[in-house]
Amino acid sequence: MTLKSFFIPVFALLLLLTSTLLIHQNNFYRENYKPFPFATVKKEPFYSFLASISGFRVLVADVLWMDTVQYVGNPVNAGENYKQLYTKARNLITLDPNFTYPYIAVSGILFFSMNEKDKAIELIKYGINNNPGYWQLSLYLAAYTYAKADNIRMVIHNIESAVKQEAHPPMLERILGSMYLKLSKKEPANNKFWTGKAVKLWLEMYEHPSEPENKKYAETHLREAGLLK
Amino acid sequence: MTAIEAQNLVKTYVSGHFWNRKKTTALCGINLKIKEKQVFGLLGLNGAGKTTFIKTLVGLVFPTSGKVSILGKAAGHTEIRKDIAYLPEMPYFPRYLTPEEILLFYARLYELPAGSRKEKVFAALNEVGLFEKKKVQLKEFSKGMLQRVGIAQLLLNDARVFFLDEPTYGLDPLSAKQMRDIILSLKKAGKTIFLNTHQMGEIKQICDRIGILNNGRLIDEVEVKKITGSLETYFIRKVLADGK
Amino acid sequence: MENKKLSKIFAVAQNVLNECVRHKILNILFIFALALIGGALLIEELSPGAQGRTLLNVGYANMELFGFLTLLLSLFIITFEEIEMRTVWLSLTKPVSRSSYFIGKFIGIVFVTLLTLAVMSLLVMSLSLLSKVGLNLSYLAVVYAMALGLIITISFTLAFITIATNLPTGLIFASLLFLLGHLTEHLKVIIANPETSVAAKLVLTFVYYTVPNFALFNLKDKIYMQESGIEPAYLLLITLYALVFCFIFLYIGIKAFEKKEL
Repeated sequence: MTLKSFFIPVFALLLLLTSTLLIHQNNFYRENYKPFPFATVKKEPFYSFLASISGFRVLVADVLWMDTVQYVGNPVNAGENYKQLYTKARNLITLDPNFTYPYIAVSGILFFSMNEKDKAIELIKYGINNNPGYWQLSLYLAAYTYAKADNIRMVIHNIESAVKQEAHPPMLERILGSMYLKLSKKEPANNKFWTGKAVKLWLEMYEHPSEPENKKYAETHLREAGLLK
Repeated sequence: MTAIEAQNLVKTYVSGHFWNRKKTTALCGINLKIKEKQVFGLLGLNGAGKTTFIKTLVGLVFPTSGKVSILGKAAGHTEIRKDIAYLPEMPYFPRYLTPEEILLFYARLYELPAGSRKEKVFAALNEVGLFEKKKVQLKEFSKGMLQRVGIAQLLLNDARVFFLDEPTYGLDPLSAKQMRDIILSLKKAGKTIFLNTHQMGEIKQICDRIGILNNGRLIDEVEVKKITGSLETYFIRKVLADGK
Repeated sequence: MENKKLSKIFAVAQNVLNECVRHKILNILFIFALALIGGALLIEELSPGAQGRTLLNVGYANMELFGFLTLLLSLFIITFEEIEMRTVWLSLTKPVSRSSYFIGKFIGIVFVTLLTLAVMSLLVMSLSLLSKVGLNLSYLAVVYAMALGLIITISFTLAFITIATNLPTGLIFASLLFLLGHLTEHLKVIIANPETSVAAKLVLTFVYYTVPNFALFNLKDKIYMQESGIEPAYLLLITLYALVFCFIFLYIGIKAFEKKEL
């Protein structure tokens, strides 16, 4: 074995060790590379564990989201009050805590449709913990907190801000409409004002619907109000 | 000058796993000297070790012990390969390349000047009658046509030593004659040729000397003109006398 | 000292590239990959609120999977032709050293893989533009890191199939190392666990430092964590890491190839 053929592999191994240690000191690595939380999270479902270690974690989270959407869209599940929704959402956000849209959409369903207010708030808080820069979640937390305290004005204020964001869940517009109607009944003195806001919202939903269900919702209310023949 | 030299050349192949290793000796202490400008023919039965010997000479296989040298340098040395040309038995080429591409590739490896590469490639293809098919992918070629591409790559570089393993294998009679003519022209040009072949007629026409390889041993070496009678009979007698 | 070493290396690389690019199986695989990426446009419809993200994630996953399959298949094709069909005999009897030939083969397969990756990445970019999904420099960083991971894979696969006595064995070992490399990052948890024995810790630490850590190149799972984008310093470090590993595997492969009997 020549001196050269000895030093080359030794030098290469030293360089390898150095580069590995340097990577470990790097900020990006320290902030973003966290191993699968074996201690705190069950390995069920197994695919979550597998996805997390195989490098397709985020894609599997997308697939789980598609599964959740299909679950919510299936009328059969409405019959059992979407009892698996929360579990599905938790699996999904455990796998990808930075997938922000499910927090918004699922918490909205939990809070307003299923009356599972505490679970909705817990979900949003988990989202804020893992995405401190995504301020929109704080908006939703505020809305839920005020709604829980029956402070409908503050709920409306937060939902109006959320609806201005491009990527808001379409159902939020329907919830806002319902809030306007609720407040118009709660504050008879301001009935005209809040009803006017509701009508403006329905017209907008009818003319520029974010989804077909919103158009149907707006159409129904506009007909009831006698504004559509 | 000695063009090709083997000194006590031994080649042993080891096969099998840790508990079941098997040693096969393909070449047993071969001693051979071939002078420049000679044409040497190596005869032997199937499995005698002819291809192993030629592969050791061109550096595809390494001796277990002993020495092999080409033009005074160790066989397999990168620089010496500029002066050698090799044609294996049944040459294969990358299927999706064309004759022009593969020969240009070899020309680049031979360090031929960029300006004259294409010219030499076209001349070689012309020589073997494949110029019209220079842009056809090699997967479309028959065995005989592939052999001719193999011959073409021999002619790229002005090599001093040629190693030919069954050069007329798979060729039709006309192409086989053309191949023999090429070998004779190389001989006339003073090249050293080492030839493995079963074709006795070829040996008589082309070779100055022959050697007979049997079970990995060089059992005979003789000048062709000294062989009286038929070459086949001479060969068979020698092999039988060796105790096959 | 070999003359015109670089020219010969690139001659071999060009040969490998031409052979692979024209191979029917690779062409079919390539078309299949493009079709699957195109199919992302349909898949993203099932993901309301996250269409852009799904489009990109499906694109990334296809790029990585088909990049891996392309390099495996290319290596199989080239090596099968060289060894089983003996096409390498005529090349190695020319004045080219085995190390140059080996490096040329490596560069050729890298070209094939990068070409495939580049076309797939352009398709993903086009689909993103069509779907009005915003792309920033993070996208390029993800693709770059993916390419580095695939290049390391090429280097150790080439080394393994050179060392192994037959081609399927080499490919199997390479696939196992690829799998192990994806699990390496999670070994740290086992190493840090106080219940792990000292012997196991030593072995796992050795494995951690000697097996390529593919998690470092998996930026597609990290971009959603980072609002400020991916640090250039990190990219430089993983490039150095990849280069060192490539060097080590190529060194091993060259030494094995120089002793290989053909």
